[in-house]
Amino acid sequence: MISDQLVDLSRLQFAVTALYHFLFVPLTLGMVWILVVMESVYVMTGKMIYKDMTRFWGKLFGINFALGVTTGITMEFQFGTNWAYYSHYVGDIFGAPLAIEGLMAFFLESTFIGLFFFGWDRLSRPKHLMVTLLMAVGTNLSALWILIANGWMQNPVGSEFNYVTMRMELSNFWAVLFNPDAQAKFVHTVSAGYVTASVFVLSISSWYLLRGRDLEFAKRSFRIASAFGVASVLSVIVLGDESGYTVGEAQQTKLAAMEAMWETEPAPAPFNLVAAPNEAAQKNDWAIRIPWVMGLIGTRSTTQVIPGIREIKDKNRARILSGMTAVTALESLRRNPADAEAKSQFEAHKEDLGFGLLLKKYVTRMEDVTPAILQQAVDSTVPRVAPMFWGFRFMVGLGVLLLALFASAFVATLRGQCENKRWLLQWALYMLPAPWLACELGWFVAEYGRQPWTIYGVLPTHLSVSTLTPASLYGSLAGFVGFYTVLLVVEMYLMVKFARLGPGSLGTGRYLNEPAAAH
Amino acid sequence: MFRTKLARELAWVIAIKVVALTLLWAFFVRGHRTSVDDAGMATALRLNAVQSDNNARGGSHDQ
Repeated sequence: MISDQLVDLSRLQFAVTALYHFLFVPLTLGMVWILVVMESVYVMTGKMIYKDMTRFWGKLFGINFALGVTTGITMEFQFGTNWAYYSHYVGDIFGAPLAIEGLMAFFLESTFIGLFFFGWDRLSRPKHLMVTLLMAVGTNLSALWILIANGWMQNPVGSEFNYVTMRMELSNFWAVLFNPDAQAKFVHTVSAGYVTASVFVLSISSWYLLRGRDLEFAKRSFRIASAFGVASVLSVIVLGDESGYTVGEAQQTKLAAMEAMWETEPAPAPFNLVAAPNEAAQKNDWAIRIPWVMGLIGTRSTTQVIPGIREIKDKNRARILSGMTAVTALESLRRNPADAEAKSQFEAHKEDLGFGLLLKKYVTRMEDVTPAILQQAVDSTVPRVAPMFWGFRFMVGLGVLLLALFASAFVATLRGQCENKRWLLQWALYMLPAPWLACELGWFVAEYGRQPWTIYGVLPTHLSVSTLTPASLYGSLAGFVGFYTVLLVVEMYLMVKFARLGPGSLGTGRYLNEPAAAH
Repeated sequence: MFRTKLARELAWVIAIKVVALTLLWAFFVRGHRTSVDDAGMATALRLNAVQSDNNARGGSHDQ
């Protein structure tokens, strides 16, 4: 049998490296557009303070960017090292957006980031602004292609299984490109990045204002961050709703787990504001419910029913039984590709092949499937509910808190009162970790909620891992944790150092903590 | 050979990176390749395991 330990360690390693990588990505995605805004104001007004703002926040952006790039590369390597069977099975489709990301977006952003830092005295103002803009486009295009790849994992459109080559093959590139899941995830994810960067600038600017230093610089940074942030956080909420809607369309198990919906309720379904999911009893021990809301959010109608976990499991049982026929037919076709009856059987049931493959976790031959094993496979099709339910709610709760923060900051800055409201400045400072926490929770809900699949409904996770030994995985995991911890310490040291120095680190002679003034 | 200090430093950095990557590959990757083709994938999915024990998952592993 396939070792559960091997699967769990491979998943843990990917989760650790992915969550670590996403500590840096959202700040890069958002900060680059804030730099575009600041530099645009500089080009239009010619005021040096906006150039200083672009250069200072650009310095913090650069520290973050370096870590984002290096930690992203190791993730791509893992598809080959830890997920070799996954790579073979779906590499034809999954590899295409990753390759385009490298060739189109990554090269673009990497080229222009050099010009951004070293081109200030070599390029005219408009040309340098164009460089910053192209860097922003490249960074966000990078996210687009990665999320097209990830969106296909959630909703595998535009592809079909070829039993001769034993892999999924691309049948419609445009369907993959315009996959509704990918598009919804892209706009939701980049908006979350814009919020992260806004909080970053807002918090550090608030710290300067609380200390009464570099006031003009801090107030203008605060103003841009609050305006950019209020638009971004509204986008995150609206586009997050869209992302949730596409989940309801393509991944009913994920939606049901996120909402702890055990039973199918009459439309429009109530929303469980908070609840105590009980996995063993397959029910909520208690819940505070709001009538109609889930139906309206999840289906945007008052008549469409959202299936509960029990109903989904019944459907999945039927699909596993159909998948057993597909697996048996595929085994016959592997032995004799000319077997017409097997081919006919396979064609009739191939949509459920992935569900049949779920049983390979427990048995080798379909004849050995017992009712107990079938039930195990059925139960495995729904992720654990409590982590999904609470992970989603904490993410949404943080989003609402950030909306309140940005609304307050925006009103204060419009009234020219931001530096006088100490409670607001302290609130902004303490909210610094919130967007990162929300982003990590969002990815947890998206990826944990896809289990037991790597490709939803197509390829089970336990069949995707490479045949490595647990010892090698423990070794590489320890290496990652150790090395990444060192990198994080270095990153935090540099960030804190330059944030403390403030715009004085630019050495322009216009700010506090100027290197020249220290002597 | 190198006209500027920067070019010399960049050449050293690239050379060190190539050596480091080669050593990493030699010690940690070379002996652990998983070759995958249609037969390997079928084996990984345990489709043909009824034929022989050697076809159990990982049979195509080159270790």
